[in-house]
Amino acid sequence: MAASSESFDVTRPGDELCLVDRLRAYVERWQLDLPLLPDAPRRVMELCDRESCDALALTELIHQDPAMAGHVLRVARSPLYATRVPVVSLRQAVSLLGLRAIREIALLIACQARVFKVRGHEEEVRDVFRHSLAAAFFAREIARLRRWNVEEAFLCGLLHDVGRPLLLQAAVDLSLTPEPGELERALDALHERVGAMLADHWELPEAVAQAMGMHHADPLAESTPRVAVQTALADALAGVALERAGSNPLAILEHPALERLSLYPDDVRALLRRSSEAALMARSLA
Amino acid sequence: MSGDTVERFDFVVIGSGPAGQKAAVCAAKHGKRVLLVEREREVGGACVMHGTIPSKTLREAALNLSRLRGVGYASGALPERAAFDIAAVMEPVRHVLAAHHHFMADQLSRNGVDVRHARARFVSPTEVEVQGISGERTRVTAGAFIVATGSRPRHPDHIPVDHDSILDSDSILSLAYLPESLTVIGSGVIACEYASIFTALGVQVVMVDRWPRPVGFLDAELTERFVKAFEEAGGVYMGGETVERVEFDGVCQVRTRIGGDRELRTEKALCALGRSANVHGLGLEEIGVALDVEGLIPVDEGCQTSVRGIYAVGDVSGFPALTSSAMEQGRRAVRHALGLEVHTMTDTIPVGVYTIPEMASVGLDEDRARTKGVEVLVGRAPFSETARGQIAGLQDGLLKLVAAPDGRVLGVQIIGEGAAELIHLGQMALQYGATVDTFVESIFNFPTLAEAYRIAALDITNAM
Repeated sequence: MAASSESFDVTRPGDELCLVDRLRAYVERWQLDLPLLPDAPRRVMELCDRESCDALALTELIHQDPAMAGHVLRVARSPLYATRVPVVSLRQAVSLLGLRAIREIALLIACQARVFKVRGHEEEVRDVFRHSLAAAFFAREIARLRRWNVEEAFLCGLLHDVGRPLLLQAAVDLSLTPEPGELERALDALHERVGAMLADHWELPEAVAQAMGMHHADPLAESTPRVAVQTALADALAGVALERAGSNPLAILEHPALERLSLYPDDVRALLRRSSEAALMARSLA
Repeated sequence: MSGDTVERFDFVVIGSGPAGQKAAVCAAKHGKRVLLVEREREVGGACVMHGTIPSKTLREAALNLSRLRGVGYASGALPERAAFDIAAVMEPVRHVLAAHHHFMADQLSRNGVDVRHARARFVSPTEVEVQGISGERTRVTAGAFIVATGSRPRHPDHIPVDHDSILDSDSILSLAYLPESLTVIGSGVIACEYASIFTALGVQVVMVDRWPRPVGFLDAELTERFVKAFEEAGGVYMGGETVERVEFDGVCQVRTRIGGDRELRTEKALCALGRSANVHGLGLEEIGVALDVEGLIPVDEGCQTSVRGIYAVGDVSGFPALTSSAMEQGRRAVRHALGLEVHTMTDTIPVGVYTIPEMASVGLDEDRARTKGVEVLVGRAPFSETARGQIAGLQDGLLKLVAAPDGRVLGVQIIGEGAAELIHLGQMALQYGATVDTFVESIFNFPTLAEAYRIAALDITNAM
């Protein structure tokens, strides 16, 4: 497997390491530049979490960050929240979207600003972001179906693949020139590990960290937390909704997560029927 | 396996909760070939696995917190509501559930019960179709079928439970943080349990229901004491109110509209208005099994439904919907199906309500005796009169002993910590026809709460 990270300078080209090993060594040595949670979204999330949630104070805070204000208005006007009344003010948008959606938007902005932005890989990163949004949608619906925590499920879906853009950024920083398919293999192999590191860095709740770090673990193993299994299924459903290459609705009916989550074919079909809704949400927000 | 295959068993049990599990083991012990069909991956019953065990774990944490407050810790030394890590408190539940599942699975396996992770649907009174997770279907015939599919939280049409802002008794157990405030809609056992638990955890709780007092089937003196303790801890009980509408305001509050244009606004709401039987998808009505207006399956003394050879046990058949009685019903159904003697169901099954403080009852209480016109003597023993009660700070506890004029014990009602355990002494007295003299003449450990029995018995003998 990987050569010892101590014996190579992973940043120096020409060492006899494959791309996966170079990135792994880079990650394990904590050379990866983990982004901080940007200040404005962080303060918005804190306010949303506070006991006395004051919509007015929240509106004022959003006003201070033009990017966030613009995003909130754009989402409020999107087909996702199709309303007969035109949305003309931030206060109105906050009221329309609700505190929970505002919190989610703040997190999205944090991700977009610091995570889902890699020069030279804009299209790939946008795809990852859209996919994450669709996964968040399905994670929430799975939780609702099974009467589990829907707030937490959304966050798990949204952040489960956050390691991918971070690794893309690392590949850019290292000036790596991968062979075709090599970078994808590296991302597949390492994104959970990087996700777990970011969860730790951002001090995210344990369940979210488990989803980020273990959503490709064996769904039937008792050591795999249920929330990771739930996210894995949401991941697969998002692939179908966004018609990702290789995704097949029929294959979902044989997904091993179904046994762990006790979801039967009619439950899965009900989830698949929401695909266009999930895709709309992903395209509206990303 | 193809849909054309037909398997043959002596018994098919649908559901692996306490009732189904006991039925399956009992049938297997009689040498019968048993198939147990469970829709969840883990055996043990969704109600127990996702309701009873997690809620009691949360209660234990709340109780410890209220005990610390009770012995005079400065409030600053205790975790604030916002800092209370509900996820960490619930973490041990995973291990408890895994252990419970393994224990149950081992027991079923040892007894040779064939367990399948699947759903079952009747296609005729003697055959079910069993569908696995991947959709594969098998036909199974049997001599007897035992429906033990349990219940789930009931969602009335006017309460849009979304498991997000408006929760039910299942989804409230997966909360990732404690809300600031909570409206509990309902006043039954589950409503009172959660209302008192969340109050003890520092949440502002208002419990609202149409009944003037909560847990109406319990002795009024007990429930009055419960409401007093609940309100002293910071909760509010609004009895005699009609909940007209419940909705999330789209921003941060749940609005609960009650009569007279009044509105309660809290961060979350809990709908706890009883439970519905899990009969959907079983195909019962299609094969002629009668259901009552509430969707429950009426049964006879032997737990048999309106269709011969099909039995219903546990929550799915309604009252008393207790784990203890469900297990007995499971065994009873098997004995009936095997043509064995079925003893009269005992009327001395105790009821335990895991509120803070705890309540328990067995046999006849003072209110019901009066309603029935039965003359009774009532002895009272406040826990504060026992040394153990004083030591443990259980000032609110009370034991009531109900006896016939000749001293025969007819019932016991208790409120206070340990009530659900303490009640069993009264249950034994009832089952063996003891009189109050038994308690007067008995020597109990000192200091214990069991002394309350002696004090209550003396209260009666003094009045005789």
